[in-house]
Amino acid sequence: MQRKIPRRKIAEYAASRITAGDSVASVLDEVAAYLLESGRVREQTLVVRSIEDALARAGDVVANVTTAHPLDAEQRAEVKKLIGAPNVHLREVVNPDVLGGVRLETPGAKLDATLQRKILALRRAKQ
Amino acid sequence: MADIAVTELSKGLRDAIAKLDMSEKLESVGIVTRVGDGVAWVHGLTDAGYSEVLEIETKSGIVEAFALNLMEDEIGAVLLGSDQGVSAGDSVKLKGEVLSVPVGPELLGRVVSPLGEPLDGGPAINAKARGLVEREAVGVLGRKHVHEPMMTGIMAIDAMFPIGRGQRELIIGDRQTGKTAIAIDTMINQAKQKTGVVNVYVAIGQKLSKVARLVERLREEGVMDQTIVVATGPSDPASLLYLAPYAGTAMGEYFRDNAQHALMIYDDLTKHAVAYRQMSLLLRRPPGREAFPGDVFYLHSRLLERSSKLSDELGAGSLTALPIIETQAGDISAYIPTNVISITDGQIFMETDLFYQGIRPAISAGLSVSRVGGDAQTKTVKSVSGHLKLGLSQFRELASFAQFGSDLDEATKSQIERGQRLTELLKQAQYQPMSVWEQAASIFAVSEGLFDEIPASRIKDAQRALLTRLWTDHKKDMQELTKGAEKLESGSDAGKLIEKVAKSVAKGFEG
Repeated sequence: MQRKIPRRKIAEYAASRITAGDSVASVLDEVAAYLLESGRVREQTLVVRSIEDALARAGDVVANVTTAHPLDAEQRAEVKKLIGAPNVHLREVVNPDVLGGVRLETPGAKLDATLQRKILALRRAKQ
Repeated sequence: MADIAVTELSKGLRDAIAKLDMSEKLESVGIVTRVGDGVAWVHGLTDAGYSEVLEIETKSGIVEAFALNLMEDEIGAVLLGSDQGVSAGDSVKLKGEVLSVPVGPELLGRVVSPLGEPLDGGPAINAKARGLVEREAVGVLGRKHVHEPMMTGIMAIDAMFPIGRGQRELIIGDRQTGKTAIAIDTMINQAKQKTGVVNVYVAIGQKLSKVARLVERLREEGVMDQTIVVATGPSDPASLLYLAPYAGTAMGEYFRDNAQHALMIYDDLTKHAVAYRQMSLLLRRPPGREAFPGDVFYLHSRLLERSSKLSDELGAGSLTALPIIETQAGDISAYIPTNVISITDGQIFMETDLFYQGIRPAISAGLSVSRVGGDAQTKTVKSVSGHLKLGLSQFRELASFAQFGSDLDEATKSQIERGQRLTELLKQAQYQPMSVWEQAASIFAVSEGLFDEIPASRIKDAQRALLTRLWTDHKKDMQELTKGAEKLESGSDAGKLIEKVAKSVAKGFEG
């Protein structure tokens, strides 16, 4: 029986190829082919997360930043400083529902300093 | 003052609020990939520690879990509550600490869950201290040998299988043989004799009606003030049944570490092993013998090793354990019973046959043992117990001849009759623990032959009359005797006194 390759190993392999300069598309094609062949298509979301984790460990971080208003250059620099990785790519999302503050999501980590969350926490504490 | 437009003011306020709060840090976060049967599988959180508490953010609030399976791709976390509110996709954070429970005198008189939440309808527990649920046992140098008695008040135990403070004595037997009754009587005795020992009763998967009855009885006997009850019912998640004895031990350790004495009762560890088996199978750990996981021995050994007598340097406190194991059809050679027998410092074996013969407590004198023995006995009881053990063991050897009656020689007949009287003497009603002087005087009277003319069926009446007369007419001497410092022999003052009174009492009961 073929031994199942752990997701972490798949992710580390893909991340090392990407950071070495290989084309992202070709790496993902290989991973997709393996998942199809081994009947593990259902794990694709987790595999993507694991690849993002591995890339983050290698210094390439893609982060989602959600704020109530668009970030200015100073704020952008502060976010990148907070994340602290050599290469940070920000995906900025403007969502007025958060009211204020910031929600920062990186692979494997999260910071939710939005007003929305603080109000929710206050409500829960009152219950 | 320049006009400031209201819109500018509100924008300015919004900008100020939108300013990033850099004092907060990025926290590691995982995601629930699947959940069911009380186990949540989490992707991420690669730096989670073994047994670390995880917080799962669900729509209805935070559900706590603890990480038990740390695997390459995911973590198996056992939920500490219902799995109904937890869904795949919920985010999971590390709490940054291992499981702990509130400990301290604030818990006395309360019935709590293994997480320290009140179950008795009383106010929330505001304990100043917290104790770790999983904790290493005290090392060799921190211990002292067991030398102080833990009086159960049950004559058969205190005389023949004495328990000391810091000892682990197993109570083992089939269902409905009086195992919990022994534990309850021991707790009641601590209040009656004002020993100051704190009781911690851990109910593992017990019917809640039984726990309620027990709490009621303890309240009636005035014991609840020095007792903590940690209760889990059969419908509670297996994780809580698994944690209950460890949480209870953490509560008992508080008193041990503060120069006091505590008594742990685990009722019962068989259900504990079954709950752990359930958890392990759901965590996909490989099953071993009888489908138990490979570390089922370690499950109990690390629990019971925390019960100890501390050295004088550490305050000389103690934690005594009375674990209970339920056997099937009297089989003490089964897997879990043999495991726990090898861990503990002795066992009290309860036999169904004795129970139905009316010998209650149904303690098997042949199979029971206390490995601490005389070191944990008061001088008084020790001086009379030798005759008791000898008499009973001779009786056991000859018991099969009892049916021959008149065909036996006089010596054999008298040994059989002595054994029958001793057996009758050791019968004891529930909730009536006996003090040191009561036990010593009763055993002395029978083993010295002072009640030889009394038929075995009237021994208990004669015992009651003897004790009443001694307490009424010689209270000071009995109070002195109960200190346990003096041997009770036929030549001693107390011995002569008891002999005189016993002879006088015996005249009224001779057949």
